[in-house]
Amino acid sequence: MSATALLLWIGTAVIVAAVLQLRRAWGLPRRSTAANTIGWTLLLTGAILALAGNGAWGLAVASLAGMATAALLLAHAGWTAPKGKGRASDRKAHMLPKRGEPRALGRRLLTFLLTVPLAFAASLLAALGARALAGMAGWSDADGNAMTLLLLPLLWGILAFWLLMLPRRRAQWTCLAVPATIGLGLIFIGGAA
Amino acid sequence: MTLAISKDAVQRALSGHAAIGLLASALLYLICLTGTVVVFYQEWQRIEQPDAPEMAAIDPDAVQRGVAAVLATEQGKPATTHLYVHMPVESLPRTTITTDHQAFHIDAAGKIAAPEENAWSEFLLGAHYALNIPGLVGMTIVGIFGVMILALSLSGVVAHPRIFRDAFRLRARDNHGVGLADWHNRLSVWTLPFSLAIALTGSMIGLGVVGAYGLAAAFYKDDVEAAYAPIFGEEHGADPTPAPLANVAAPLAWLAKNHPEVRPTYVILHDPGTRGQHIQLIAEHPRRLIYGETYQFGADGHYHGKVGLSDGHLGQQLAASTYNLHFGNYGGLPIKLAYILFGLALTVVVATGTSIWLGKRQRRGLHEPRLRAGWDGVIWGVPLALALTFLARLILGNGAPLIAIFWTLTIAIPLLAIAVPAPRPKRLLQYLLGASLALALASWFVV
Repeated sequence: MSATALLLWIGTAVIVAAVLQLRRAWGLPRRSTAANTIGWTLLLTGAILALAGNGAWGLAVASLAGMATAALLLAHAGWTAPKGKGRASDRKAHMLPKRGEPRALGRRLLTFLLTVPLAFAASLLAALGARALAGMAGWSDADGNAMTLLLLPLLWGILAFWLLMLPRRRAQWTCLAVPATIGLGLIFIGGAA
Repeated sequence: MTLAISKDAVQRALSGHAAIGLLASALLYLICLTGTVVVFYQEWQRIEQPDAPEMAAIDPDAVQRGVAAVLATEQGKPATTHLYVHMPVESLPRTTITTDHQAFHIDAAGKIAAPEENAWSEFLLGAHYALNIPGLVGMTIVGIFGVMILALSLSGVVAHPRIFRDAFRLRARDNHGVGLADWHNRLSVWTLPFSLAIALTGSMIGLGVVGAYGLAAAFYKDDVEAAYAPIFGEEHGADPTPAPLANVAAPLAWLAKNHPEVRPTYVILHDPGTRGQHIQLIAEHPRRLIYGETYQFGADGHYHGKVGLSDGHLGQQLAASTYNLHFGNYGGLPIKLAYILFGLALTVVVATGTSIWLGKRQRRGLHEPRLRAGWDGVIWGVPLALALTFLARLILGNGAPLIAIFWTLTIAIPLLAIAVPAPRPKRLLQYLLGASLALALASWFVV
């Protein structure tokens, strides 16, 4: 067995051990920082070993093994769970108006516009701004362009989530304007066509 | 020290989670389900056309003969600009030549054996990739849904402060919504790395063209190909002057001699039979996430260099890794089975999300039989439509209008359920799904 394959096997085994340790830690009657830390440290160590062994491929394979272990533990938990009478959470999502409340369609439509098309535009500008900055820092076109393609959905997803977390419209507009303006500025400085 | 999230933040995250989830639920469910089924894209092709010739490997000279034979059938048609030879690989041990006009399987000697008939596999891939919408619109829409999974994952974690603490608790036998919520939360937390990887790679693929247009507008004078070229290599200029067919065998022989550790998956012949023709070989590298390296050759078969997807810039390696990481074809059957399992888990997470929301409303006294029946129509109607479409492929053949059948059923079943909500259609749809799956299996054995 090659050294890289050995590292991958050890990394995978450590990740599986990490999942088992987290299962033990989270099942303790009282929260134990030490037990949790051991679990997370094992997880990180396993990931590093798998990465060192076979790069991104090794990390992907070892992660699947960890998730499969968790799936088995969950299957066991589900299989052995007694028939309960617990009441489900009735937390309201406040998605739709209560009876008699105004529908606030305009407010909802504006939230949609902010989180979908405008957040997309802001993310695209920010990703292109990062590409301009990378170009100025001497990155290759390949690295800069690939980073842009990665950043576009990543920033959009984070921005959409963050906008929904903000309680005020003014904060939402600011949250959109800042990355968009910085991105636009960088595109102009960094040599737009 | 503990990291506590304020009650307000948790409530806002829950609202955002519910808003995105409900907005996206039906199509997101369809994308996740078709994505799970299409993990076996190569295996489906073997199921669809079981009698196509199979081989573990093919001689380079046989490939040359096959290319010449296929091109000879195209006299009088507009010239093919790209000819692809699918090389035999472990999960699809077939040699298939595709031109701009047609596709044929060839046998191990390079003779044309039969036309390729994989309409179901292509339909399935198209449904997942682009909701069967032609052009770039469908891909972009699917990419947006990938972004929604990212936002749903983030908001879901923040909305459930105990989500990690309870990660191993599954009260599967509880009624009144507890079991449903546990399934939703447990599957989502343990598939989180998978879901994030799938969502990010899927949205990168789906929104790639939009990003490339942005790059082209900002840095490449609106030339989209120039934006892709630093990553995937550039297209050579065409010269339509007729010329003898390129030597396809020599590059294959060169690769076998100089890189015996890699396995060719595709031969791409650009502008065959012209002076501008050139050859690209795509070869899989073992234990890598990249879909392959592109080796480039001239018409005479001489090696001109490689693009650098395997060892070039980090950006090239990253971009080339998105496809395999998304589709799960980087480690044979065990990885594919893991993707089926986690893909199914993600599909269940999406399905149960809306069901939880409907259940809460019902427990608050809001009886909405049409809404619930409509959601039943989505959850059970989409797999039923898929099964019936597969059945149509088996019975009517490769020319069956699969896209029309699938989308008509996918839209009609929930609408019918909304129109006739009582008795609740869930059980009937489950029976129909079981029956259609059994019928499809029986038909496959018979046909």
